[in-house]
Amino acid sequence: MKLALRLSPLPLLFAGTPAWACTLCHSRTAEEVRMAIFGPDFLSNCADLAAPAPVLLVVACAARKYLL
Amino acid sequence: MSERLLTTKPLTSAGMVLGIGMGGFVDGIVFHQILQFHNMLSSRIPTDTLVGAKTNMVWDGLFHALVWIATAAGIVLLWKAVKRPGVLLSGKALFGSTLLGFGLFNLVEGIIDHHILNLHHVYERLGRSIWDYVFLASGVTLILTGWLMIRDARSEAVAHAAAE
Repeated sequence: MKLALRLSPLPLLFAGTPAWACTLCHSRTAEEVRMAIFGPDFLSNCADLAAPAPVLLVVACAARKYLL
Repeated sequence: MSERLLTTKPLTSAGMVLGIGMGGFVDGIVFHQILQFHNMLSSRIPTDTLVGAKTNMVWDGLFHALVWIATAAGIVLLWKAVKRPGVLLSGKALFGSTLLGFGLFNLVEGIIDHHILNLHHVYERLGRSIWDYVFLASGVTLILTGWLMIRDARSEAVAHAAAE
Protein backbone atom coordinates (compact mmCIF):
# COMPACT_ATOMS: atom_id res chain seq x y z
CA MET A 1 0.00 0.00 0.00
CA LYS A 2 2.83 2.35 0.96
CA LEU A 3 4.64 1.49 -2.23
CA ALA A 4 1.53 2.08 -4.31
CA LEU A 5 1.10 5.45 -2.63
CA ARG A 6 4.72 6.35 -3.34
CA LEU A 7 4.41 5.35 -6.99
CA SER A 8 1.09 7.08 -7.55
CA PRO A 9 2.58 10.36 -8.94
CA LEU A 10 4.64 8.38 -11.44
CA PRO A 11 2.15 8.65 -14.34
CA LEU A 12 2.34 12.44 -14.03
CA LEU A 13 6.01 12.28 -14.99
CA PHE A 14 5.13 10.73 -18.34
CA ALA A 15 1.94 12.63 -19.07
CA GLY A 16 3.56 15.81 -20.37
CA THR A 17 6.76 14.54 -21.95
CA PRO A 18 7.46 15.56 -25.57
CA ALA A 19 7.73 11.87 -26.55
CA TRP A 20 4.05 11.45 -25.82
CA ALA A 21 3.10 11.33 -29.48
CA CYS A 22 1.14 8.25 -30.39
CA THR A 23 -0.17 8.57 -33.94
CA LEU A 24 -3.73 9.31 -32.80
CA CYS A 25 -2.85 11.39 -29.71
CA HIS A 26 -3.66 15.07 -29.28
CA SER A 27 -0.25 16.38 -28.28
CA ARG A 28 1.77 19.02 -30.07
CA THR A 29 4.36 16.48 -31.24
CA ALA A 30 1.67 14.10 -32.47
CA GLU A 31 0.03 16.88 -34.46
CA GLU A 32 3.37 17.80 -36.01
CA VAL A 33 3.97 14.16 -36.90
CA ARG A 34 0.53 13.93 -38.50
CA MET A 35 1.19 17.13 -40.45
CA ALA A 36 4.51 15.71 -41.67
CA ILE A 37 2.85 12.45 -42.76
CA PHE A 38 -0.28 13.89 -44.36
CA GLY A 39 1.51 16.83 -45.98
CA PRO A 40 1.59 17.55 -49.73
CA ASP A 41 4.01 14.65 -50.27
CA PHE A 42 1.71 12.05 -48.73
CA LEU A 43 0.52 10.41 -51.95
CA SER A 44 3.93 10.46 -53.62
CA ASN A 45 5.49 8.98 -50.45
CA CYS A 46 2.83 6.24 -50.47
CA ALA A 47 3.51 5.51 -54.14
CA ASP A 48 7.27 5.45 -53.56
CA LEU A 49 6.91 3.20 -50.52
CA ALA A 50 4.86 0.71 -52.54
CA ALA A 51 6.97 1.02 -55.72
CA PRO A 52 9.13 -2.09 -55.15
CA ALA A 53 6.02 -4.28 -54.60
CA PRO A 54 4.79 -4.56 -58.24
CA VAL A 55 8.38 -4.89 -59.46
CA LEU A 56 9.00 -7.70 -56.95
CA LEU A 57 5.79 -9.38 -58.10
CA VAL A 58 6.88 -9.30 -61.75
CA VAL A 59 10.42 -10.44 -60.88
CA ALA A 60 9.06 -13.25 -58.67
CA CYS A 61 6.77 -14.45 -61.50
CA ALA A 62 9.71 -14.39 -63.92
CA ALA A 63 11.92 -16.24 -61.40
CA ARG A 64 9.17 -18.83 -60.91
CA LYS A 65 8.94 -19.38 -64.65
CA TYR A 66 12.63 -19.42 -65.55
CA LEU A 67 14.62 -20.22 -62.36
CA LEU A 68 12.53 -22.48 -60.14
CA MET B 1 6.91 -43.89 -61.22
CA SER B 2 5.36 -41.42 -58.79
CA GLU B 3 8.87 -40.35 -57.71
CA ARG B 4 9.49 -39.08 -61.26
CA LEU B 5 6.44 -36.85 -61.07
CA LEU B 6 7.68 -34.99 -58.00
CA THR B 7 8.09 -31.26 -58.52
CA THR B 8 9.73 -28.58 -56.41
CA LYS B 9 7.99 -25.60 -58.05
CA PRO B 10 5.11 -25.08 -55.57
CA LEU B 11 7.51 -25.40 -52.61
CA THR B 12 10.16 -23.12 -54.08
CA SER B 13 7.54 -20.54 -55.11
CA ALA B 14 6.33 -20.47 -51.50
CA GLY B 15 9.92 -20.24 -50.23
CA MET B 16 10.69 -17.38 -52.59
CA VAL B 17 7.68 -15.32 -51.45
CA LEU B 18 8.52 -16.12 -47.82
CA GLY B 19 12.08 -15.00 -48.50
CA ILE B 20 10.89 -11.69 -49.96
CA GLY B 21 8.80 -11.03 -46.84
CA MET B 22 11.44 -12.17 -44.39
CA GLY B 23 14.13 -10.25 -46.28
CA GLY B 24 12.00 -7.15 -45.73
CA PHE B 25 11.76 -7.93 -42.04
CA VAL B 26 15.56 -8.37 -41.80
CA ASP B 27 16.00 -4.94 -43.38
CA GLY B 28 13.37 -3.33 -41.16
CA ILE B 29 14.39 -4.97 -37.91
CA VAL B 30 18.19 -4.88 -38.32
CA PHE B 31 18.79 -1.63 -40.21
CA HIS B 32 15.73 0.48 -39.27
CA GLN B 33 15.25 -0.53 -35.66
CA ILE B 34 18.28 -2.19 -34.06
CA LEU B 35 21.18 -0.43 -35.83
CA GLN B 36 19.11 2.62 -36.90
CA PHE B 37 21.39 3.16 -39.91
CA HIS B 38 18.42 4.42 -41.90
CA ASN B 39 14.63 4.61 -41.88
CA MET B 40 12.10 4.35 -44.66
CA LEU B 41 12.15 8.00 -45.72
CA SER B 42 15.30 9.14 -43.93
CA SER B 43 16.76 10.77 -47.06
CA ARG B 44 13.65 12.97 -47.33
CA ILE B 45 12.74 13.41 -43.68
CA PRO B 46 15.82 13.62 -41.42
CA THR B 47 15.61 11.57 -38.25
CA ASP B 48 17.56 13.99 -36.04
CA THR B 49 14.42 15.49 -34.47
CA LEU B 50 11.70 13.80 -32.46
CA VAL B 51 9.09 14.65 -35.10
CA GLY B 52 11.35 13.43 -37.91
CA ALA B 53 12.12 10.17 -36.10
CA LYS B 54 8.46 9.55 -35.30
CA THR B 55 7.34 10.36 -38.84
CA ASN B 56 9.84 7.85 -40.19
CA MET B 57 8.61 5.37 -37.60
CA VAL B 58 5.12 5.54 -39.15
CA TRP B 59 6.54 4.96 -42.66
CA ASP B 60 8.63 2.09 -41.28
CA GLY B 61 5.40 0.63 -39.91
CA LEU B 62 3.72 0.84 -43.31
CA PHE B 63 6.76 -0.86 -44.86
CA HIS B 64 6.52 -3.62 -42.23
CA ALA B 65 2.82 -4.02 -43.04
CA LEU B 66 3.70 -4.65 -46.71
CA VAL B 67 6.38 -7.23 -45.92
CA TRP B 68 3.96 -8.85 -43.43
CA ILE B 69 1.51 -9.33 -46.32
CA ALA B 70 4.28 -10.94 -48.42
CA THR B 71 5.18 -13.26 -45.53
CA ALA B 72 1.53 -14.22 -45.01
CA ALA B 73 1.20 -14.95 -48.75
CA GLY B 74 4.30 -17.14 -48.49
CA ILE B 75 2.78 -19.10 -45.60
CA VAL B 76 -0.44 -19.66 -47.60
CA LEU B 77 1.57 -20.85 -50.62
CA LEU B 78 3.66 -23.12 -48.38
CA TRP B 79 0.52 -24.63 -46.88
CA LYS B 80 -0.88 -25.29 -50.38
CA ALA B 81 2.43 -26.80 -51.52
CA VAL B 82 2.58 -29.16 -48.54
CA LYS B 83 -1.01 -30.30 -49.07
CA ARG B 84 -0.55 -30.84 -52.81
CA PRO B 85 0.38 -34.34 -53.98
CA GLY B 86 3.52 -34.77 -56.06
CA VAL B 87 5.49 -32.00 -54.41
CA LEU B 88 9.03 -32.81 -53.32
CA LEU B 89 9.26 -31.59 -49.71
CA SER B 90 12.94 -30.79 -49.70
CA GLY B 91 14.36 -28.66 -46.89
CA LYS B 92 17.27 -27.66 -49.09
CA ALA B 93 14.93 -26.48 -51.87
CA LEU B 94 12.80 -24.55 -49.39
CA PHE B 95 15.79 -22.90 -47.70
CA GLY B 96 17.40 -22.18 -51.07
CA SER B 97 14.26 -20.55 -52.42
CA THR B 98 13.93 -18.49 -49.23
CA LEU B 99 17.48 -17.22 -49.79
CA LEU B 100 16.60 -16.51 -53.42
CA GLY B 101 13.58 -14.46 -52.31
CA PHE B 102 15.71 -12.64 -49.73
CA GLY B 103 18.18 -11.79 -52.48
CA LEU B 104 15.41 -10.60 -54.81
CA PHE B 105 14.16 -8.29 -52.08
CA ASN B 106 17.64 -6.81 -51.50
CA LEU B 107 18.27 -6.32 -55.20
CA VAL B 108 14.90 -4.81 -56.14
CA GLU B 109 14.50 -2.71 -52.98
CA GLY B 110 18.12 -1.59 -53.23
CA ILE B 111 17.84 -0.49 -56.86
CA ILE B 112 14.47 1.26 -56.46
CA ASP B 113 14.66 2.79 -52.97
CA HIS B 114 18.40 3.47 -52.68
CA HIS B 115 19.35 4.35 -56.25
CA ILE B 116 16.29 5.44 -58.24
CA LEU B 117 13.95 7.07 -55.70
CA ASN B 118 16.60 7.96 -53.08
CA LEU B 119 14.17 7.25 -50.24
CA HIS B 120 17.02 6.19 -47.99
CA HIS B 121 20.53 4.79 -48.13
CA VAL B 122 22.02 1.90 -46.20
CA TYR B 123 24.22 4.17 -44.09
CA GLU B 124 22.25 7.41 -44.18
CA ARG B 125 24.99 9.57 -42.70
CA LEU B 126 27.12 8.93 -45.79
CA GLY B 127 24.30 9.32 -48.33
CA ARG B 128 24.80 7.04 -51.32
CA SER B 129 27.89 5.06 -50.44
CA ILE B 130 29.72 1.79 -50.95
CA TRP B 131 27.23 0.17 -48.54
CA ASP B 132 24.40 0.65 -51.06
CA TYR B 133 26.44 -1.36 -53.56
CA VAL B 134 27.32 -3.97 -50.92
CA PHE B 135 23.56 -4.30 -50.31
CA LEU B 136 22.99 -4.95 -54.04
CA ALA B 137 25.90 -7.42 -54.11
CA SER B 138 24.41 -9.25 -51.12
CA GLY B 139 21.21 -9.58 -53.14
CA VAL B 140 23.02 -11.12 -56.12
CA THR B 141 24.99 -13.47 -53.82
CA LEU B 142 21.83 -14.63 -52.05
CA ILE B 143 20.04 -15.21 -55.38
CA LEU B 144 22.94 -17.29 -56.72
CA THR B 145 23.32 -19.27 -53.48
CA GLY B 146 19.60 -19.96 -53.34
CA TRP B 147 19.41 -20.95 -56.98
CA LEU B 148 22.37 -23.35 -56.61
CA MET B 149 20.73 -24.94 -53.56
CA ILE B 150 17.45 -25.44 -55.44
CA ARG B 151 19.29 -26.92 -58.42
CA ASP B 152 21.22 -29.22 -56.08
CA ALA B 153 18.03 -30.38 -54.35
CA ARG B 154 16.41 -31.06 -57.72
CA SER B 155 19.46 -33.03 -58.94
CA GLU B 156 19.42 -35.11 -55.77
CA ALA B 157 15.73 -35.88 -56.31
CA VAL B 158 16.32 -36.89 -59.94
CA ALA B 159 19.26 -39.13 -58.93
CA HIS B 160 17.13 -40.66 -56.17
CA ALA B 161 14.26 -41.32 -58.60
CA ALA B 162 16.64 -42.86 -61.16
CA ALA B 163 18.14 -45.16 -58.51
CA GLU B 164 14.73 -46.58 -57.62
